Amino acid sequence: MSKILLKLLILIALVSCKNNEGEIENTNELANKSNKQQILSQEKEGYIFVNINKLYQEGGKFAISDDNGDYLILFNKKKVFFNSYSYDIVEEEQKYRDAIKVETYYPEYGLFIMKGLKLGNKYRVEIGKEKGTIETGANFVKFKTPEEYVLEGYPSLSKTNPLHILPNENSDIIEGFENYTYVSVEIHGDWLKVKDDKDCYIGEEPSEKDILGWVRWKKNGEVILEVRQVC
Amino acid sequence: MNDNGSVTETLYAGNFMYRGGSFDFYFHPEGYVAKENSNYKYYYQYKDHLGNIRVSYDNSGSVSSPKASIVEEHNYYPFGLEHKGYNNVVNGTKNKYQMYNGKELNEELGYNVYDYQARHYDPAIGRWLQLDPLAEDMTRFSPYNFAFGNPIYYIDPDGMAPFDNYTIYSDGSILRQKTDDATDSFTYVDSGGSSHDIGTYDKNSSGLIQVPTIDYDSGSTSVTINTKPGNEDRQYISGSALASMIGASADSGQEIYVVSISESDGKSPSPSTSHVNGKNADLRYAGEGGARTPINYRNSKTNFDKIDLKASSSMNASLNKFGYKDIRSSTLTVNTDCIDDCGNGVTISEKYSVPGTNHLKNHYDHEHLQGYRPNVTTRELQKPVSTLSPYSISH
Repeated sequence: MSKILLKLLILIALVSCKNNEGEIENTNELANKSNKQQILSQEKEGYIFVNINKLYQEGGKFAISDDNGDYLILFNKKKVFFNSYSYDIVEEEQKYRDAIKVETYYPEYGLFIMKGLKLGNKYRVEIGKEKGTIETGANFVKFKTPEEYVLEGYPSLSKTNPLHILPNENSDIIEGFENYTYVSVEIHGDWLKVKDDKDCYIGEEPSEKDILGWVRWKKNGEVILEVRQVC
Repeated sequence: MNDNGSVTETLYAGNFMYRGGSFDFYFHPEGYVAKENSNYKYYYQYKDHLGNIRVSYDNSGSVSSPKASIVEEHNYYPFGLEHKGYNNVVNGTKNKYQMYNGKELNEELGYNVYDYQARHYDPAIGRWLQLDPLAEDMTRFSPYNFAFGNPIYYIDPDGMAPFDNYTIYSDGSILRQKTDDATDSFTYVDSGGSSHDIGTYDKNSSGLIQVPTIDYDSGSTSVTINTKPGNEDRQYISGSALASMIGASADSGQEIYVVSISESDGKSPSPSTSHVNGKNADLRYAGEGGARTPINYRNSKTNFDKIDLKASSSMNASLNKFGYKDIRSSTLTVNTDCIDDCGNGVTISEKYSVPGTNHLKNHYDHEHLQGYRPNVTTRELQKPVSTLSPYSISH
């Protein structure tokens, strides 16, 4: 009887221990899950602006690395190292610009903009087919959400994405909208309210009357509006 | 050369012709002077809109009682063959130096072709006898075609490329002869009335010209236009805007350095939003010592000081004079001092802007030209402006 009781106690102890271990495992899983959710909640899609002008003028250093830690592209002083060659960032841009396939790259205008993902303390970006990483603490870098990107740039309208009177596809299109440039006013869901730009214009003079309307900037979660950076 | 094989040499010196060793003929805006026996006689001419000499006459009376007498009359089919059977008047020696389009007819040995300097033209078949020396520039047309098959509308002054003409006057006005053809030519007329042929450039199917590199220097007139290498696909300009830039460079003596204008189809190239149809443009700043290197003065007075303000002032005033009424660049604000606590007190700042420009955000790295309102007079002339004296045209 005592033997049976002893076996029972050992079994209970083992089960108890197993349960404790299981609880520990479950706690870790929960913690991991929680961290992941936290990280996921920190993930932000957006646009990474590299201040290439400051970098060029001040002779700074800036790099984008691949997953092995090797440089995909390195800016150092006035030189850019890319595809095993180095070039003057501005004066030789015609030799390498087309190979840098990002959202916007015009070093003479100080523009280097990539679509990317803010992921914890890193930005994940794509340069052509290559995936790269930038430390968020890197100098010369600024992150903009899609909303900021659209609101702070020059929206470029087209016949495929025209100016509507109201923020819906069935609303009338404003005639002659192509003859003006626009500044962003406000975002309302997937629609952006814009008005004609009095400082930057196409014709002989800016329009005397205000031209206000709505253009779709987002569709199925993707930014569909082309945004330019200078007049 | 005649049928007997005897040769008479004719020498040409501009409007003056020497034949057989003696002065024979010269033409002038009213007509011509020709040798008749041992004297020289003054003739008047009526020309049509294509420069064809239709009627020549002289004064068979006296100065006090003039009497116009017809010396020659010619009438032409559109491609230059002469009508026969009526009014083929020739009283005296035929003026074969000036006939269809005002060109010389070579009748020797029954050749019967017109001499257009670059090529010979046969009016019987309406074709050139030689290949177009600029054939590769006009691939849409036969290299032997005459006046694009439309000799009533177009003329071909020298057998070379047909052209639009821009005559750019030093007072900022521009005279444009619109012909809807493949090339544009540009002449600058300085304040002394001297003409400077700057160049002739191809237009594409959108009517735009790829901004050419120009390095013209003659006397006190210089025109310098350069372009940023690698940006060729976004450096297309309208003819009138190029005329304005030529005028601005000649007027100011400054180099115009073009970064970007329009795409070949007239669309605004990225990253710009307003560069449509070859008018709005981005230029580099006029740098110290005539440099046209990139300058970006965002947050940098040091870089702002690399701009030659005097040269910029001159260049921008000339660009304004020739049509660009609104030139933009960013105003630099530099904090120089503060009163009391710098964090909470009053900040003293100084502002710096490029002369002749108005402020525009995010434009510390180039001048943006817009508000294009040139003083252009357009004429639907068949006669090339280049053959007219600039003072014979009111502009």
